[in-house]
Amino acid sequence: MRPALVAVDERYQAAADVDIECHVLEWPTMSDAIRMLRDLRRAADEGVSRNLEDILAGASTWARLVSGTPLAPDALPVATSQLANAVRCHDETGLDSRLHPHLSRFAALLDALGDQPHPAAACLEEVISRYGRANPHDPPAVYIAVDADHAPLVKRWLEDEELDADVRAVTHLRDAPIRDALLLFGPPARYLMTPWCGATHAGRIGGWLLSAPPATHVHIVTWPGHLPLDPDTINVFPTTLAPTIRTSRRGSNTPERDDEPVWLPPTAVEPRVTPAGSWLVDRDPVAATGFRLAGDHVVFYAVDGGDVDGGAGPAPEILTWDGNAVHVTDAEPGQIRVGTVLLFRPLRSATDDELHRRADALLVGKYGPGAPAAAKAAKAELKEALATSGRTDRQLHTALSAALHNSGYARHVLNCVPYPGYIAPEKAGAYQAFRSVLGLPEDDGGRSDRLLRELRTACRRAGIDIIAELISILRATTSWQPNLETFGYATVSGGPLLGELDLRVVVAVDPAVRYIGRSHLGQHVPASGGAHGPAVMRDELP
Amino acid sequence: MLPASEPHQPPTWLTFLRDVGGVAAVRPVTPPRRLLLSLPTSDLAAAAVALGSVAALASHRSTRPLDPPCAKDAGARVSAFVNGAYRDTRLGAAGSGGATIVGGTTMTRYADTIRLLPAELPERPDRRLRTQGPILGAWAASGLAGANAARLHARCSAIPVVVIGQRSTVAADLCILEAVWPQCGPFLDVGAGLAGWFRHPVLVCDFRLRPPGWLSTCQAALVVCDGAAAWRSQLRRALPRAAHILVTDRRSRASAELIEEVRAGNPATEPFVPTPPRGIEAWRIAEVQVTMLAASAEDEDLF
Repeated sequence: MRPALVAVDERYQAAADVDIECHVLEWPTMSDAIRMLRDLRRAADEGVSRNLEDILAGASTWARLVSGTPLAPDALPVATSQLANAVRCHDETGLDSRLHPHLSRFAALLDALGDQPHPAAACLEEVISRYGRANPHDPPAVYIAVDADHAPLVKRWLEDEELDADVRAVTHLRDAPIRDALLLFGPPARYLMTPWCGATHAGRIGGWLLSAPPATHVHIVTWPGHLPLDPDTINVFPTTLAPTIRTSRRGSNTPERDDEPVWLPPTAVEPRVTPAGSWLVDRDPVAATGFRLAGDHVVFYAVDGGDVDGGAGPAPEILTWDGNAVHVTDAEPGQIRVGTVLLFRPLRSATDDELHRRADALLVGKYGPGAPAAAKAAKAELKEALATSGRTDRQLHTALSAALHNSGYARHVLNCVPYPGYIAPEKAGAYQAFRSVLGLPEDDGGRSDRLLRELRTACRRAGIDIIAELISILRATTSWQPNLETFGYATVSGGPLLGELDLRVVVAVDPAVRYIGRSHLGQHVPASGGAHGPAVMRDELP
Repeated sequence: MLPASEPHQPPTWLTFLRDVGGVAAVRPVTPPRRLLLSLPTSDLAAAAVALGSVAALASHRSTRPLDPPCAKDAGARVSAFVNGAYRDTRLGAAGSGGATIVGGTTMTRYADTIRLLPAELPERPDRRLRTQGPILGAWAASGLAGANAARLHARCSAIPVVVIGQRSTVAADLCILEAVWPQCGPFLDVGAGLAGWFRHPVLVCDFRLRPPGWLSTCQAALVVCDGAAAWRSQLRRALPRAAHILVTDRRSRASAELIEEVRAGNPATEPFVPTPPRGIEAWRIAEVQVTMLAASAEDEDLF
């Protein structure tokens, strides 16, 4: 058979004859510490001091490290003894005194843990020693699946222990060639659970680690702090027979089943998205739905249809991928769910120079070398006239509203014209009306309007070219997938000229409808405030 | 039904995929007509299913002529296999004894392969198939005793198998499958896009392809969807009457999510025949058919 057929056949054989062994490890002190940490978290929901909140956040990071690596508790980057000291110091301050029994007990448990080895260490040593390379030039016979950010720690630990294994993130195991064994720290769901991906869903997505693994033997090493393995999530269809899992227990007692993970935030993500104050005072408000994105960003889209007057604003773009097929589709805001991946086009500032360079090249190619300068002069004419009109904003708005018979659109035009990227009102009638309100001479035979139209078309085409190039880069690379699956956001870079595409997972959907300025639609910004869309400021005139 | 000499015994999973294609294309289960497969890898799967379906269709149609086209008005635009080539031509007036005449040639053996061309289908150049060429050579060597290779090809191409996926992937997979089934590439004779309708037994279309309006008047034997994106494509929904097979990679996140969605909408479980080998998951559903209204250019005037 050909090598390609052999490789595929090996994958089918591995899936058909997979041998799964679950090593359940006992660690009573860790069980108690985790139970105590959960109690403290529940108490924190009712309100605790800021200092304790920070300590609990540190404890979450610590718990995630303990559950995702075989390192001894005191060898972790978030050292157990330091955490114990922090808890004890906080307890001694007298703050959160109602939690004194919990805090002192938690500190004592952490102290006790500091002296203990990680039970997985011995188990891993035993399992890895079962397999070996047939030839010194062969790759390691064992894979260890880790969280992407824990890979360096586990690699160093293996080197110290002189163990031979290939450490990879789950995403990088998908296309890995078939080897002898795969080691998992906890059930597959542990690797994929995030605030936007629950245990069952994560189990189903990660079930391939057990039903189509890149190895003939799979060892699940699980200890307190891991979710129990749900055999129903291994297969995607209910009619399929679940694979047999052999369970071996270490220790005298049966470990307690944990039904919730230790490291996730105790409460689900806050769905309410509060727009920044300045977004609300915009005079062109639109009914919009807010979405909270991974990385603590927010974005708003006009509720389906938007208002009749000015359209619905930018449409969300959804990214889906399946193997090498990357799909970018326009969607209605109503179709966005928790877990949807949104694609954001580059910020305008990132590609301004490149956009204008390409637009100029298009204009030169079509209308001759003088075309870019003429078009830009026509664009600047309007901005200059507005800046030097000497009339107040209210006077201009009144005059323009009367000329356009539309107060909202008049406000929109007045807001947008000073922005450097804005060209001119698109409709010829509106453009002429604006000229006359500003006291500019009548457009000679529609010459300026024609120039602006050419400029607009060239800029749009240049923008479409840039986006197409970025999306082709997105389709050609897969390096963004691990980041997106691990952290919920990723960027696809097209170099300094083309800017970046930003990919973000929706973490929560705001049930309420909010009214925000039209210019803020479709732009994701940090939830805490920060950049607020295209700044419409009079002093930004070119 | 496939090339007789098999240098290697095909693996069980490959035989299963081939058989699934054959069963679905020839005896579409009604209802349900949607088969979902979750595989350890989707490599080779779409090609194997397509190969199985065409082989089974060829075997089935070697003894059963197709239904003739409904309208036989002289002057109607038809696609026909005339004088060694697929041609888009006009139907002539009925000859003596009701014989069909196409482009001046009296059709006897190929009369059932004449298909009415949809009005919107653009003009196409002829497609010549040499009797001694690789394609008809592979069909002649397929072991279907007593059947005319060109007629069989024409019968299978009249109601083709549509694969929604990447043509280069299917082509590369066929090269690999030749280790098991020699000459399967020329036997499948894969056409790219919908422009080769009535002329290739298998058409591979990109999942982003927007289905043209004329597609609703055409009939496909089977739709093979290679991945979740293909299942969600407009093209699949534009062929609701054919049997559909979804081929997914168990390792793909999008596939797992799609199957969760499908399961949520179809809680009933159905036993799947033939029983899949270990490592392969199979399920079948009866999909509610939703008629998609094709958006026309006139609609834009309303807004």
